[in-house]
Amino acid sequence: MSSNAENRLELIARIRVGDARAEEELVAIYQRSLLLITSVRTRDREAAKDLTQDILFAVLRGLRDGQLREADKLDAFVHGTARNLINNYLRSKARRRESDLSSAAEPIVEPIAQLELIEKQRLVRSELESYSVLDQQILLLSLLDGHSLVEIADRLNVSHDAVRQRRSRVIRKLTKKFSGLSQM
Amino acid sequence: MTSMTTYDRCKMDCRQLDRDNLFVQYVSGCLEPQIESELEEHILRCNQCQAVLEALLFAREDLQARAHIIRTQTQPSRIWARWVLVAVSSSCLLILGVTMYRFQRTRARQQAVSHLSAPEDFQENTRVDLSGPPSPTPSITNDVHKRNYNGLTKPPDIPQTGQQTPELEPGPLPLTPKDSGTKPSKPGQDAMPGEVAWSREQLSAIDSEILSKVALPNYTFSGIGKRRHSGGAGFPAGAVNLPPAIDSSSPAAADDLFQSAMLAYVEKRYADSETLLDAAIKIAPGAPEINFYLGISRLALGKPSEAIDPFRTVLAHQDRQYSQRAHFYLANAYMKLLRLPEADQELEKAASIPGPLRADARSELTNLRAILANSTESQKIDDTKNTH
Repeated sequence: MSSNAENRLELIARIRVGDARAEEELVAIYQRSLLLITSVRTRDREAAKDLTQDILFAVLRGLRDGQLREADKLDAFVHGTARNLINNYLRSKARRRESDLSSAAEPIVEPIAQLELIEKQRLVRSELESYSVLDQQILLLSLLDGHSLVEIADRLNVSHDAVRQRRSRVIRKLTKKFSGLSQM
Repeated sequence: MTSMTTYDRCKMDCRQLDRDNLFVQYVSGCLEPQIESELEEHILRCNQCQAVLEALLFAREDLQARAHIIRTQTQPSRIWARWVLVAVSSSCLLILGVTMYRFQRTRARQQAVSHLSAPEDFQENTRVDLSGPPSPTPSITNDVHKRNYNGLTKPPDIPQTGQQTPELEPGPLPLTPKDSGTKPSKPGQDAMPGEVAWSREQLSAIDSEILSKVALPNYTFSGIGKRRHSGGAGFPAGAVNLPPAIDSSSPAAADDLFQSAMLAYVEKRYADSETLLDAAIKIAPGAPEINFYLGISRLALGKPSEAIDPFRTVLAHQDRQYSQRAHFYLANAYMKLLRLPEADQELEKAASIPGPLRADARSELTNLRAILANSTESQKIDDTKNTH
């Protein structure tokens, strides 16, 4: 058994006996990635934060109750829990027919984290605004609307190759520049 | 903690896949569920991929916030409008130049004639002037005439049309007919509250018009065997009479009518296709494809309110093939009627169903919500102004 698997096994065992530090370790391992996944799926940062908390809470409760027997399956267990809770959230949101326009903004709970977030958003905006309008349009149609390269080329009256090259260049530039940013 | 060594046990290896493309699809929500699941499991343990995803997520949020601006910046219609503006300006300048040239030429000729001729040649001069090259606007001709005889003698009685202008008055020549002075006031320009509301409605209509520019779906005939009419030419253009050969009580009659309607539809004779589909629907009231294309034909004919019922019938039958399309085009009918909240609802449903219109529905939904947000914002500003 690899050391990584042994560490996981030990972590799970500690959580099962109620070790608070082990729980903190598990939260540190998964919090960022879960927040990213929930943000992508819900398209709502505030909702994603709440959902991440719910997922971590559900995972910890499951581990305490001994629902996971194999340490190797911890990632799958976390992911399965996340998917279930995200799907539940999306279903309930569709049922509620909540209006995004009228919903009031949540009060800021963590001012420093909020300031960091605003700064990152400002940097990304500044970077995106430095791109040509066509590049921004390509990114918008790709990332937001989910159009294929062919559809984008058709809509913007640009060749397929040009769209592919531009998108690839812009994304590489963007990820290279901002993937070094600290955690969310 | 997460470690790169766990790549070996992971189904997905980010070093071997087209990460950028995969992440773009993931962020836009267009990834297959199976791949999406594997990717998410991979993200849980890969720090590098988390960083890439985070950057794309920030970019998506920013693009979402500025979507309306970016789209309008690069709208082809705007570019087209710019070219039209350039063309109109150039034409105006050309007309102005030609008019000025003619005016100068006529004036020079008149001056030459007046210098050379005696006052008794006055009638002759008048004749020459009036029979000269036609001017673009009557007011220019009259003013030229007045100016030519300024200071010489009394001008002849020329029948004046339209508004009288003070005679022999120096100054720039009017280049266009008299303005009625009934220009509509611009929003926010000392306008009454009613006028502001009128302007906002106009703006909404324009926005909605932009939103509702949606291509009509194509129809493809699935095979020669589907065609029942002999001759294969369908009904002639502009003359739709139900053929006597069709027995309206037989189940095949609806199909025959539908095929003929689709021939008309493909040829963009929407009035004909509507008539035929109307007849078909009496035989098969619940047929989704007949109802769907009836709705589309009515949309094409600019009758969105009449298109709603057929689309609703399609949705009531829960036909998988037409469900997404019905939601999408029903949303467009609502948009044309400025029933934007209902359009929003239908677009959201269309976007939630997997299919070819999913991306279009999302795009429309983003546009619509941006417009709704803008109108809500302007409404709040107006309300605040009114309160103060």
